[in-house]
Amino acid sequence: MKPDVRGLGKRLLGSILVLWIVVTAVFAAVHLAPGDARTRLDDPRAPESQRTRLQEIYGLAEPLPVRYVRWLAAAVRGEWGLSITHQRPVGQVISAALPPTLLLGASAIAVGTVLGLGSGLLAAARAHGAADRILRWLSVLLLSTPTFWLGLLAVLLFSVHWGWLPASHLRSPDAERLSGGGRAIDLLRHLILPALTLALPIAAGVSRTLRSRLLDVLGQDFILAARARGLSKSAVLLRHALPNALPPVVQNLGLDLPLVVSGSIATEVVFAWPGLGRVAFDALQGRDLPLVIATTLMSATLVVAGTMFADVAVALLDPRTLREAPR
Amino acid sequence: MSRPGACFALAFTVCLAGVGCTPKGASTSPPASVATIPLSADLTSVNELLAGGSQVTGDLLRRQLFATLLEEQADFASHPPTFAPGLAESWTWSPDRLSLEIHLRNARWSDGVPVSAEDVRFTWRAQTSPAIAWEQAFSKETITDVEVVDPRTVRFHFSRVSFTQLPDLNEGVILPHHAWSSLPFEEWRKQPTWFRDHLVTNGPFLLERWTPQQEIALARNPNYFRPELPKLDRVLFRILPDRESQLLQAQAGGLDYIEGLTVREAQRLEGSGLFALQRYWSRQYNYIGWNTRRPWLADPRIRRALTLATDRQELVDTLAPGLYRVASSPIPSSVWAHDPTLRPLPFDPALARRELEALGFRDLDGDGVLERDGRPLRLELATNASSPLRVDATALLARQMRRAGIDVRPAAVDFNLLLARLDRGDFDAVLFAWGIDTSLDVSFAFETKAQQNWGAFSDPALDALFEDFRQATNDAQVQEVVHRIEARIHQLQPYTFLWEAQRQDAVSRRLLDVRPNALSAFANLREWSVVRP
Repeated sequence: MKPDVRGLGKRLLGSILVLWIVVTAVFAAVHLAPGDARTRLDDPRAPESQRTRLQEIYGLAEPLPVRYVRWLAAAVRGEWGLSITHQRPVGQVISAALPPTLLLGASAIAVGTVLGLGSGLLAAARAHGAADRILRWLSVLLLSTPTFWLGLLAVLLFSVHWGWLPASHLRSPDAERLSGGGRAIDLLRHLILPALTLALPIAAGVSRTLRSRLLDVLGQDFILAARARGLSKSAVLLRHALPNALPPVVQNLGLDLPLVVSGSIATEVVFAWPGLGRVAFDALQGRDLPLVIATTLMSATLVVAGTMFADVAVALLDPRTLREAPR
Repeated sequence: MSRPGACFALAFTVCLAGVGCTPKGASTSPPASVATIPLSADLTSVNELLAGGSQVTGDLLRRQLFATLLEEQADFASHPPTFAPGLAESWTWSPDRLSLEIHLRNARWSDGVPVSAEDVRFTWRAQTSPAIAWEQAFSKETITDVEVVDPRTVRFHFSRVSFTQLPDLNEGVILPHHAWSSLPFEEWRKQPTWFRDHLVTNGPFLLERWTPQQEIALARNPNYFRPELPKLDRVLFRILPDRESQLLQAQAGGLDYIEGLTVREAQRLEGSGLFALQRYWSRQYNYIGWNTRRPWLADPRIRRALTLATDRQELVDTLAPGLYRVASSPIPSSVWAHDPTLRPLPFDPALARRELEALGFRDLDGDGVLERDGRPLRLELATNASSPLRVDATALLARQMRRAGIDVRPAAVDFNLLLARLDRGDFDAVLFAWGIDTSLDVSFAFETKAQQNWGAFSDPALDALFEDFRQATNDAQVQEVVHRIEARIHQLQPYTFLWEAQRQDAVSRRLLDVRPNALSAFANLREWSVVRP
């Protein structure tokens, strides 16, 4: 297969353009929106001159276009400004929040995919049977349940009622006294509930898409031919039907990637998980403009990357999609 | 393992290692006595001048990590609060009360360097520096100089005598000159993380560990000037933004203290058997602020009728039975200067209706809403959507006012949006809350020129009373002026005062000597101890 370098280059340029449009729109929106953490003073007795002084210090007294040009020039140099709610450079806040989010997101996608594939296969194999009906109802239930509620239910059951797993945070208060392996186990124990909370709706989505696609594929001629050759039911399902049913599932997973970041806000708040979702939530609440822009850019980048990843993965799974359309 | 599988495993391990690493400076010795407390928000900076005036800043920086010159007491019910020695061992006023000489105790910073008069002067210079723009800088307006007399003696000079000289002088913690003076003031706002790397403290605790968005671990400061304190070895503040998660973890025994409980939350935690409740009156009141830019609301007689139409006792009994009480003034009744003879206007919807009818309002179309000049008496009552209690209160108030023929439409608005609307004067009425401090200064909400006078209320007589208040120099004068201010506000009703809030905290039964008060839930954290098994 010959790689389409030109096409990839065009795609990359298009992605950069999309990101620029997104951050520009967000810059304008957050600066025009009411409320500004930098100049909102907690003490009602503080005089107006104090607010004006803070505006000068943070460069907010200048006209919006001037601020935009300065911000863009700094952003290109990798200087994202100072987060007012964290009182740290935005780059530091993002780089501290990214690993926990990636860990949570990757775990959720992995667990969700495995569970979703398993239940989708089972539902398709037992189509219209009791197992299929139960799995379909379960997936509807999981997709329609708010994540924060699912998280709180998990805490109530697994932490409060049974006391099996920690209810929040990345690590236990005394984790620093544990050995390296002990710390990793401690982290894994803290990861289970938030990852499951995020993974279950993903699993439900994967399961429903896969089941529906498998049922389509199972009715096609090449499946009949495979059956006619005497292949077992499981071989037909796994070797012939599954590879043909996977592309839309992978496409959906690629699009789920940014959702795992932005959609994890509720999960990260409930479980006090110090990731990007929570940073974005706090930034929005506190009108922390540089941080809002940076987290939006991260999210937008993941949307673009997720879409590209999905396209590449689908192309790998089904090379027919790479063929040029007839002229 | 397949290639994608191997890649995933590698990425997973890297993330695991990235988030699982031990922070620098972590202790390895097992703690003897620890209290674990949730915080809804993280600390923003270890430097008070940059950290803003949030509750976390007050609770952690001002009381636990850093010390003030004097320690304000919460004994303000029958007289102005008294001050106990803090870093100051003793203090003497000049005969004209325009200077105050403070003798420092033999205290040390956590690195062993003595706390000196130079620290006090450095702190004042930083607090008043325009480059830093500290939020509370206005409290230092009457201080003209801070003179170093000798290493342990410092003299404050004032431009005029005022009732708030001592609290103004005491506003803010003392900062370390030897550790922080190497960074020019112009750089403080640009390099807020610098202070974390150069942190020395003089309070009862040291900052053992601060993992942003996760936890703040405080450890006993062996150099604290009261060697018998603190009694706890460690205090762990865990950042838990979600209230329900806090409650669930408290029920599971993972937390020792929960602040500001609603009635239902208190019942839930008390029922677990793990907690005892502590109640104390805050210096906060909730109110409806009327926008006097609206032609009808500019008339004090209409505002009075609106107050008569609100059943504040029903509000209190419904929202927080046994916990709140009806407010009558911007000076809460738990504060010494409040006039105890001042009574809230009664709830009397019939009288409210009669007074409105006397002003020309009639229900001509029989829809239950009064009209004048062809326009219904309709107004929006906005509040911040983040407070379920206030949202419930607006619904209840709307129902009450309907009985008097007033069509009130509740609106729950995003907090920042609400503040922006208030700043612009774009509202009819707002349900909000204010707290007051030792200064008893309420002019910020009612004086004509005040920035937070969102309703554009203006009364020259009241403005003159605020001037009198600023000139008052002793307790009797202050109390007398405050009574007149309260009476004038009561007469003109720019606000309908709703309730004074009593705070309710849950304290783990394993903790001893916990005494929260209106100044801070953690006012005496250094004296807390745990029950020994």
